[in-house]
Amino acid sequence: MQESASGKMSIKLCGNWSITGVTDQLRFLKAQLQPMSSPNAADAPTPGESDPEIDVQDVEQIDLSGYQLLAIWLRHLKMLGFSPVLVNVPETFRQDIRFLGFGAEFDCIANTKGRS
Amino acid sequence: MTGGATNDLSRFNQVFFEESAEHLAEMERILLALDPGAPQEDDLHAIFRAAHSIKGSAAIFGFTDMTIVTHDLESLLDRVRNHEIPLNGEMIDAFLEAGDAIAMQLAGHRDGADVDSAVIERVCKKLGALVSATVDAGCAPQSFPTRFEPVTAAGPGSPAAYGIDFSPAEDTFRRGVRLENLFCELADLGELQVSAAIGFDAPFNELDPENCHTSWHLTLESTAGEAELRDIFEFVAEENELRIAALSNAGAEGEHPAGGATTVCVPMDTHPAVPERTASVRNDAPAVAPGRRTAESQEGSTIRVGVTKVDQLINQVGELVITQSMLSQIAAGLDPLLYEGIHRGLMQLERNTRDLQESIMSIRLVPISLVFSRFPRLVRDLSAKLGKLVELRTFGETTELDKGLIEKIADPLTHLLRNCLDHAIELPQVRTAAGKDATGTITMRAAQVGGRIVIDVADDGAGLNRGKILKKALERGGAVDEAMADEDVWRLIFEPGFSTADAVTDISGRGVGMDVVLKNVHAMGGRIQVASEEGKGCKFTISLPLTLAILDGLSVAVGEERFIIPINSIVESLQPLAGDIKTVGGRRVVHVRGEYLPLLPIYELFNLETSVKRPEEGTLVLVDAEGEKCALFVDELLGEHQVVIKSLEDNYRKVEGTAGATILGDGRVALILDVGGLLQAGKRLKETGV
Repeated sequence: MQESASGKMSIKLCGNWSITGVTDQLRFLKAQLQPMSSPNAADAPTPGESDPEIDVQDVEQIDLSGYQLLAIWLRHLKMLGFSPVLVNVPETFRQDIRFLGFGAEFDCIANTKGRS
Repeated sequence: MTGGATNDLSRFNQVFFEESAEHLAEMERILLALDPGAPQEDDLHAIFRAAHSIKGSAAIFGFTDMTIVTHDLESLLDRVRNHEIPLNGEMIDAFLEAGDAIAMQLAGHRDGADVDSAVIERVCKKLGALVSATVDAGCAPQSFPTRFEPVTAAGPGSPAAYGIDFSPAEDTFRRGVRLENLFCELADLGELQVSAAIGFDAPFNELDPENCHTSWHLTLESTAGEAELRDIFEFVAEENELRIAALSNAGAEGEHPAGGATTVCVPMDTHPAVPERTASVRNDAPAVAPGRRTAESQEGSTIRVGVTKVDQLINQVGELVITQSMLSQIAAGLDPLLYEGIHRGLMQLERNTRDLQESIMSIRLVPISLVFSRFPRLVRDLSAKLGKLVELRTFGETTELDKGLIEKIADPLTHLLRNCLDHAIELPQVRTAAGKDATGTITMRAAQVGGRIVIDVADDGAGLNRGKILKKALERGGAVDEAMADEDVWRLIFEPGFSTADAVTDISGRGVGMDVVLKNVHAMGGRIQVASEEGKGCKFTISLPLTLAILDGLSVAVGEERFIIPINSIVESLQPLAGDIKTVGGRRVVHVRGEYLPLLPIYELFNLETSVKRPEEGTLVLVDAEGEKCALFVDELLGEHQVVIKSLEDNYRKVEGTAGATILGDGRVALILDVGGLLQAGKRLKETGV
């Protein structure tokens, strides 16, 4: 997890988000969620002040299980009071989300475009 | 990105290959038995299901090239089974060709074999042309009563709107099901809208990302019928996971199906206006996903296990049999009263070992129908090509033999069958002139006889021409004469390069094959016999061992050596009187109840030293090899054993008259006698004057 110039927390997602990789990705997401779920910790990010920017540019492959995992994770971030934003979202990613009916879950996609 | 995403499905590929091959075989079997004039409904549905299964699985596993032919095939089949167009012989030919094309693609993916794209293209064109021809001829769908018309207030051909609720099983992702492909297929049918709902409310730490927690509501505006929609879900959804409802008036009014609260959902399964549909859909779509078992089918279900694993198990059981045999031998020296418990335990161990061995061996046994089933197609195609009328009859298809043998016996049987078709069965006019039925008959029969499998390939054709065979053999410089017994003359056809065919065809006649047939049969531990009557027909009898791993045998002593005689070959054993031994034609025989049987001294055949050289001093074991009897002369009988067959060829070299070797309980190696082989060896001994 890094802090961007805008003061936002940046989380880069990468690698394999298909059924063969989602278990590994779950570990990564849990690790990212850990500080956000501990509001009493000194360096805990605060909702509203350090909302996460999630960069999906380097996601190499993703299927339904990956979209589902990401959607559930985003949902948990929102439940913790954060307003995550997906950035560098490739066009194919957007199309998949629409086609698979996940539009409502991914309402936090920024207008910036990633590589297709 | 989804399109580029790939699941690691390669571990399931083998299952797909095997299942597809089974579907193709089933499709071919039904097609060959189908009467184009009066096809059975069930058969048409079964063929469609087979094609559809291949298509569905191919799409799921990413073999998209295979979906092209299957799609065209399925389209034509669908119209046939829905009585939109009548079935004809040309269609059956096209279906069979399509099956061949799919098999070629399958082999391409499975074995890396070449796939001729021109063939694929030709088959697709043929299937397409058949559809077009029937449409042009006025067989358009609306001209015939259609069973799966969509429920809609609009007229035929107008799009209907469907609401689809789909809640896939939790293990859907893990099973490798790609729902993306399913949605693509639906989108191909019309206007599709998808809405997902994720039903996971537990803490994030409890999430299993490989489980599917999502359900979907889809709306589709399409001219497709409900059956077509259900077909798409056939391998993915159980009945309780899918609900398809017609959205009334949506198509007619041009209203978007998901557009408002005014649409009324009517569950198709309970629609009162179309009572027939429910039954039809249920017959048509079993909706059992691959790799998934319904509660009802669990008891009779199967699992696929690699042959190597089974072989490993068989080897281990073989070692167990040897160990058990060693223990029995050691215990034989213990006082039965003092060590009663040990003896009782060992008896129990022997029973359990035998049961275990039988169970394990049965795993490798498969029905010979796996081989026989490919022949109706061969006969159909070749007889048409040769202008002959031939009926193939098969019997004993449930006869089981070792999987290894099944794979090896296919080629020799195919060769024999091709020879029957090309050379033996006469043209219809020739048969009629000879007073025979215009249609020739080829009979293939399998049966278990004793401890062997016997397969007959018989025809009612011209039979072998003795004069022609002798003439040809003479031309080839063979040592033949007119006085030769029929049996010896027939054996000449197994000489390499021997052929009496007047013309070489692409079916047979090059003289390449019968020697290979014999070689292959011998390699399996089998034998082949020929019986023929000129003008009436010919019969080839192949005899194979039942299994290649373990057998029940009688151990006998000859000098210092031990031999095993397979129990199933033994008729009886006796100690002859000196007067029972005669010499007929320079050959020693034994007189047993009015019958003179050739006497084969094992010590002579294997060149062994022994003090027992006169039959009346030793024991004769009467054995039967496919109807031929002889008496094996041994020193003494030792006892009955269950022995594990070890290949001599793999570990040493082929020893004539033996079927392998085994390790006895005392650790000694004993040769297992091949009774048929010994008979042949005995004859040669006589011929060479040894």
